[in-house]
Amino acid sequence: MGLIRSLFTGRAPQLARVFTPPGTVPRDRTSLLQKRGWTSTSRNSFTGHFATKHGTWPGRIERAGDVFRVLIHDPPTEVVAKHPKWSCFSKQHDGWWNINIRTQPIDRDPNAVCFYVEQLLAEAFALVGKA
Amino acid sequence: MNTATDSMVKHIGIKFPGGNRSTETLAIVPGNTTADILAKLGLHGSFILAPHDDPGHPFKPTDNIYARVEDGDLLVASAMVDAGF
Repeated sequence: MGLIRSLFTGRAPQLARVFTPPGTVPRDRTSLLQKRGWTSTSRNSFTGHFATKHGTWPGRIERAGDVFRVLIHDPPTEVVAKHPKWSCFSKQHDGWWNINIRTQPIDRDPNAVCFYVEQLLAEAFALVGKA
Repeated sequence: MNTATDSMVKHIGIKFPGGNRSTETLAIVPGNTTADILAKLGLHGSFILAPHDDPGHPFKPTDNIYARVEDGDLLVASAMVDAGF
């Protein structure tokens, strides 16, 4: 009834957290970096691969305070060059490229950075696919 | 008694890229937006929601999630990150 009422009153419809008995739903606490097999050489430095359905690329995520530095090795430049964020990629040395991060994750989670880079790569491939 | 209403509910799983929060299940109803879901999870602002199998296409804050997902779908909630200067 609450739903029906909200549809007619224009009030925000309710949504609810569902609490299930332990074991009903797998409670996955594996982080994205763990799933990708990233390793940390120190508390603030992570090495692994950015993965999309189009391929994987070696990466490094380094944290200095609240700021992350992100590097990707030999990215698909012909694809990423079509993305609006291409200007944020800068060539370093030995095939490494820096991705300049303007908005840092509020929770300082390196997993969010990895998720973003993979998202950006996926977007770039989607853009090329549409072209 | 509430069969019609209950049949409109969709259950979705929300994953978090970090390892310190386990997957949560939410019951959503027509009209629920990205912002509603993030608020329910206590993630106010600076977070995004994306399909688990298509992270390259995150939802906009005003997107009607109910209309965009199927019952049992899995989404990812992540802190917002953006490249730029």
